Amino acid sequence: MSVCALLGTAVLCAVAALVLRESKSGLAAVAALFAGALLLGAAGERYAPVVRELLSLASGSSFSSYAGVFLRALGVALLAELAASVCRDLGETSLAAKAELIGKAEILLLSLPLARELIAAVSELMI
Amino acid sequence: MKKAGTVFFVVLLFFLSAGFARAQEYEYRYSPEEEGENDRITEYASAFRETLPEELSEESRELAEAALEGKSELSFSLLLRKSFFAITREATAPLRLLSLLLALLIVLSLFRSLGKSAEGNAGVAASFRLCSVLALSSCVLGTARHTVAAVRDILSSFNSFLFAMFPVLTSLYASGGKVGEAVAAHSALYLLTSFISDFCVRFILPAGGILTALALAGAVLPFDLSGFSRWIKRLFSLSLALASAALSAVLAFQTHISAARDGLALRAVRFAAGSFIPVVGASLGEAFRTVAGSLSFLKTTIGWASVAVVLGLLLPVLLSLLLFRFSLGAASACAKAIGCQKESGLMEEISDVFGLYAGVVTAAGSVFIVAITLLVQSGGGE
Repeated sequence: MSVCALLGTAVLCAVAALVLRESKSGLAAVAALFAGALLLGAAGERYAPVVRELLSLASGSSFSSYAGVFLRALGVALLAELAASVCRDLGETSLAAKAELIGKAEILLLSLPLARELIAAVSELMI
Repeated sequence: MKKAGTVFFVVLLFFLSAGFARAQEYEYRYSPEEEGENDRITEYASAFRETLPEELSEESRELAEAALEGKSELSFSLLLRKSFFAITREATAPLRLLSLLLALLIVLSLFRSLGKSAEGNAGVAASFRLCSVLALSSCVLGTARHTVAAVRDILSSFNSFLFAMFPVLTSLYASGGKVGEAVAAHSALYLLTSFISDFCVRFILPAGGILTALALAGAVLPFDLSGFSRWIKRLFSLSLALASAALSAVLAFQTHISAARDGLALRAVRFAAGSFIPVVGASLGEAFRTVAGSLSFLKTTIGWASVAVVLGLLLPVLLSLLLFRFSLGAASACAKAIGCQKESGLMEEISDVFGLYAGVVTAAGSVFIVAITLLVQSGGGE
């Protein structure tokens, strides 16, 4: 889909969610969730060449093993943000906070090997 | 009468036999091929090549071998060509690092722009910022790990060479009956060795690790540690500059190496050193006259091979450090332009660490060249 089509879809979904909310139907949240997932997927497809380029630049260097970690952390952060936003839109702020907590924990877990490698490298410099 | 006749006859016989004895002109034409001289030179050159240290680059080995065989003069065009090859070889890793850092920064800025629009998700953004800082730092330190290890190795090599010179230098002087000069040379060499081993290796090099750790902590933690980093950097830079200036002054007074004439080429080198070599570039400006004089002395006594070996040990590491410094500076400027202030500060501080290492290598290299010259001088090279 082209950029105009994607942006138009976002606006249409927002209008649809507003209309559904006015009619006090529970489908408003579903529509917002569906639109959010669709737009996120489209954005991911758009940025795939950037990700591929990053991986090709990192290949062959010492960072190649961690490029995947970084990109995975990026994906987790985006998904956590999406989940938290949807929960807030539905009025469930506590669930939104818990979704963020899960996202933070997963990112920190993914960062552990990087931190370990970095501490070893800095310790080598200090000897 | 009969006896006189006999004596006369014998003497006449001696004179007549002497007529067959004469000096003959011997024509000798030197033919290297017949003498096998070319084979011997090639054999010496290949044996010399095997003794060259492993850290020496391939271009330096070729230059040293060519100089030994007398095949080529060290012309400006040859030097320019070899320098270009060395720069292109050393620039691969820093340029790759720069492109990787720019790609990471672009991804980070895209995420930042997404994060700014949503409320209450500072936690996820902070976690991702931590991950991105760790990724950037791992990228830099992982790529530059070999260069940093090469700095340590080259200082260790210089140290080993200088320690090995102690008995040789003092023996050479003492065996010639110059005991006073042996003591003076020993003390000068001890000073040079202490500068490298005690000051550069044990005091200045760990400063790089401390500054890197502070830079990482400042980028990750919510409070600003740049003041501490600046203070420590100033302390170590000043120590190195003071030590280099003091060493230059001591060398000028103690050594018998005559300084090179202050010509245009030397002024250009001093300007370049002051501009591109941080910390010690300006203070070593005066010492470069002594270093230039040392190189000239080595060229005169041993030949261009010695200069090629010495510079071949030193220049690749120095070039690599400066190129990494420039790459990190460029990445820092780009990060600042796209709004990643913390990441920009992190890369700028790591760039300063590489500058400190370049200063250390330059100072140690100058000391090493002067020490080699002292050794050659003691062997009767003057």
